[in-house]
Amino acid sequence: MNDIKSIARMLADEAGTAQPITRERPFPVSDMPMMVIPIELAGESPSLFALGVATGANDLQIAICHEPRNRTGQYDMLERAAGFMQSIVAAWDADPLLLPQIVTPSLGASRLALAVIDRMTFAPPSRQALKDLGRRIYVADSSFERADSSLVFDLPTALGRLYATGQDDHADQHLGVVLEWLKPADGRIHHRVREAEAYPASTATSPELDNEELVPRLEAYRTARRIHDAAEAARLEDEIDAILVEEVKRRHELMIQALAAIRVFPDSTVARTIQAADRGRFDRYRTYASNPANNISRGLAHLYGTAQFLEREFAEDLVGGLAMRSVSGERSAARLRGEIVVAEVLNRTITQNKKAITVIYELLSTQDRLSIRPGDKLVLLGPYEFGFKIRSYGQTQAGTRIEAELTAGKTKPGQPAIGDTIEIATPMTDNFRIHRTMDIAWNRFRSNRVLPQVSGPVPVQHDLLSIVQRARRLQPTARGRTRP
Amino acid sequence: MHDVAKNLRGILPHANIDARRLVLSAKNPSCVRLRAILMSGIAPATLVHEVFGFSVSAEQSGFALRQGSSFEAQLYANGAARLIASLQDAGLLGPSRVSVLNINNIPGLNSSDARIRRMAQRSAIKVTEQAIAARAAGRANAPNLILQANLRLSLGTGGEEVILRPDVLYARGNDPVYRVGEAKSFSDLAHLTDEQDVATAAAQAGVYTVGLEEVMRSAGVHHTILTEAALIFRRPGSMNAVTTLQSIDRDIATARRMLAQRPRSLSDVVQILGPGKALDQAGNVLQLPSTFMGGCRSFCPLWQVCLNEARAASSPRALGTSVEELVGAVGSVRRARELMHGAPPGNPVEADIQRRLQEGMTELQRAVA
Ligand code: SF4
Repeated sequence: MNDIKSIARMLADEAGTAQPITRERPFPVSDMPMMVIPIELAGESPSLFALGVATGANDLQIAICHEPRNRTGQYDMLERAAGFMQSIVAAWDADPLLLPQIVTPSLGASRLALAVIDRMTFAPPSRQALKDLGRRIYVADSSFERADSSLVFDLPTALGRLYATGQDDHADQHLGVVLEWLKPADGRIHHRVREAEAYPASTATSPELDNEELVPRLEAYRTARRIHDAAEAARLEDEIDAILVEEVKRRHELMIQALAAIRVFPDSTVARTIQAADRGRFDRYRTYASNPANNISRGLAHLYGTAQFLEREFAEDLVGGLAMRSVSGERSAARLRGEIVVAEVLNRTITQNKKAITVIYELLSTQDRLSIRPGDKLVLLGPYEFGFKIRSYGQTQAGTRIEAELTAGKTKPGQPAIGDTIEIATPMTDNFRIHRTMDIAWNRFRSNRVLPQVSGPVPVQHDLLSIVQRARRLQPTARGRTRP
Repeated sequence: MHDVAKNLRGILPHANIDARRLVLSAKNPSCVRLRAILMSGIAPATLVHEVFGFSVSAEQSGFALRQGSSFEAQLYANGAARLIASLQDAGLLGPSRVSVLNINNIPGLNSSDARIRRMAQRSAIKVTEQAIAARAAGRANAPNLILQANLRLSLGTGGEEVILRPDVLYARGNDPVYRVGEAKSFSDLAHLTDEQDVATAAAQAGVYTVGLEEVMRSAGVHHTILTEAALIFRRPGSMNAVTTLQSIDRDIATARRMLAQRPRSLSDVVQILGPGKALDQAGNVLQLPSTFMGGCRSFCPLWQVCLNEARAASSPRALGTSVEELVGAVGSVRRARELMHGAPPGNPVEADIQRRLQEGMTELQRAVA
């Protein structure tokens, strides 16, 4: 995507407004996402001041904890938020067509949301309702940052896959700023950006707000509680509430705008594939977690780490291939990188030796970059994926001349003809092969015997002599008999 | 040389350079501007405010500050019991007797009398150097832990001398060399720990390790420096620590590169500016070459100044590293756009970039059509 996005950035800079970089959306968006807006106590992640939860249908609920360092207060707040989260999860459970999805205002907020789910899942036994909810959505943890999942996503990153702004990647992490770029040009973009930057859109409140508003009130609140001045404590609670509600509401407003801008783009095939994968993952996990006897693995359990790594690698391949075929922006980027070869058919020769048919294509590509080598297997990007094997290539005045042998579909109709312009690329990773490899990997891990815990010295006896003697007795002779 | 630094500061107040500030420079090692400002003993946030009139919030949130200092206090309390337990849990200290040297206990370090403070600091440096030499020599009385060691590091030739204070230097059993431990009140959230937090702590540990190496060499100790550091973070919901051993090869290399960069001395800075010029004037600051990058926003108080400058010059840096990689060779975004829209290229490099831009432009149009 780099060159396309860079060019679009230069155009956005000139126009003073963001430029789209694709026609379709490479990821799905739920009709009922769980918008999670955590506000943390600076330096105290994952202790929260406030947690906003919404679905985008004018239903923002905010739970506040006036004393984030108090564990009981934290769990009480989480329980209040969990009440609303619970109703969203119930809706996901009831409608198999709904995509379970957690949406946040920043990457930091996504991490914090996962830390909150972790905290719920492993809450003390007295908080059973929290534990139950945490278990049901803990699947989000292992799905995070997977190419084939949109179970958890942050809006600035999502917008960055659809639009280019006239600023750098780092600045694009501020949701409020990106939304300013999405507005029509008015010649004041840098001024508007500076204004938006003054209001944090991620998890922390600004140091000025902390130092001038929150710190003194929190201190006064603690004092009021200590001296049992209920009226003063209640007054301060109201004031702290007002500040935090304002912070959550501002982020919520930005998120609503961002979701609207994202929904303008139609779903692509890869988005639908990711949606199906996420829904399947959520359902399987729900079945697993509904049995209290099943343990939840926290983070990437080291035993399964390799298998999970493999799975992620395969997913990356699969989603990359699909995106290239179904998202215009990804396809253009792949052409620029030379991963899709665009070539004109110069010649096509068919030879027959007894029953064997050989079809050789001579192609000409004018692309600047090509990522092919002799022996590469490529397929035609079209309704039927004819297979080619690159035999050789060489540079000429007109471009790169490629000799490719048709290896699949030799007898099929609709083969490219002389004068056609074709696009060929690496074939998609075969889903069946991925599953087979993963099944083997998982089975190996599962069949790993759990080694017993040993404490104290273990007596070990080696009787090498008897081992050798036994081996000799079983060794076959040259005539196929066992030697005595 | 102190006079040179004073002249360069002009009316701006002197600020001590600590590792936190040095790490700023390590985050953009090719930036001459920031390095010169630091070498002259100027706090970048003060400069931005006083010279350019930007209101930057150099201050941290009161919550975070309190969090940091109380975590540190808890780590060092009761003979550093919490710290020792955490290092032992991570297998970085043996279970047997652990001897601790707390440099903070040297009297006079926090005295309000500058002369007493200076003397105490000299003694802190000496005690630290003695402990490092004792450990290298394998002496039994060498401490396993040095809290708040004072390491001297010279910032370029004739630049300010920096006193680095790593939170912990630790060594196991008879190890001849200390390793650096960096304590931060960041939460240890296992696989969800903020990458930026880890990077910041590791970068700081890299600078400390280079300082430790310099002290070792000047004390005649030639053991190889160890390229791992203990990152000591807070267990969420408590004041206990979780220690993780982190490889810091890259951070050490970055710190070395940063120290080897020009300007190596204050006279280099004077040479760039011309004689008699001070950094209390905007024009003089802007005369120092800068290399803005998006990441500057996260650590350098001057970012708005440098971004405005980059934008005014139509520098590709203002649009991020990928734009810079694509069109950096033509010098400006303006020129790149002209080429993209068909202006005749002036040389083979421009012709090459024009071809790439036009191909990209065609693809972009196809992608959104
Ligand atoms: S903001 Fe400017 S001075 Fe600071 S590191 Fe970046 S380029 Fe250098």
